[in-house]
Amino acid sequence: MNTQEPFNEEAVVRRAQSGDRQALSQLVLRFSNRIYHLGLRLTGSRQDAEDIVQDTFLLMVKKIGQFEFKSSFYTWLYRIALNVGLRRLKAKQKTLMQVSVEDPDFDRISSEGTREWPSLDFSIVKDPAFRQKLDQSIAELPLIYRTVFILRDLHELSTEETSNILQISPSNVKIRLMRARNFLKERLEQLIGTEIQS
Amino acid sequence: MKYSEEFFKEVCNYLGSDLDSPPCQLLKEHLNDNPNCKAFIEKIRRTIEIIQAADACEPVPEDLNQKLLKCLNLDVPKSDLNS
Repeated sequence: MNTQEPFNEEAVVRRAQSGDRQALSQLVLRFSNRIYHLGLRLTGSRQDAEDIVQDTFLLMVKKIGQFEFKSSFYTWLYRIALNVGLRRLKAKQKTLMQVSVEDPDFDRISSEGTREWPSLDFSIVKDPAFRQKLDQSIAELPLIYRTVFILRDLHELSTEETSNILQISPSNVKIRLMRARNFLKERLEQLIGTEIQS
Repeated sequence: MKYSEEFFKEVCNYLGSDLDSPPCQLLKEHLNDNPNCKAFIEKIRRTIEIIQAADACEPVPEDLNQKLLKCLNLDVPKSDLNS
């Protein structure tokens, strides 16, 4: 195979379905990083993320014959990965912190004024201490919101794709995304305030 | 300017949409005369950008693919061997 050839997903998946192990390897290498990041954001643990990648691709190899091209391949794969991740979280029975996730307070926004954020150098994300606090904020976001945020904003799936993967309505995807974004904005606002004062 | 509650429910809906989508862009134009709302939307946008940037900084373990292929009893694709 010429390395300059574009990746033809459908052709590779069909070859994998017919038992071509090279094609299976290609699919693994193409999607492993994305599934790792999905697992990492879902669980907050590198070890769990690696385990999720492994279990996801074991299932992919086992079930690829059942993929019927009714959605894109990665949508199908993400659904497997998400189910694997959610099962893992449930099995661990992590005690989740109860946090309030609400709609934006529009009265406050429209009448009390919203301070501009100071200019923020994006290199701050390279600071491990800042990243750890940011990770903690994301981890505190309840799962129903976190999954939507991960799929829509971090993996840039569409509302429809997210709706299909999570088996919820597109309106529900939008509402959860709006609440997730607002929650994270408020957490980031606190973090930025702390960074500036320190 | 005072917006109605219904109007803000629409804003909520759009904030769950792509911020660059045409309806959201149109809405932003309407909000441009309200600095508080404008600042709010910009903060949401920057929140997403900062978290995306943080995600991009998170390295994938170097041996992830090697371990994965071994576990699945698969070989490195020939195309990757040639590159």
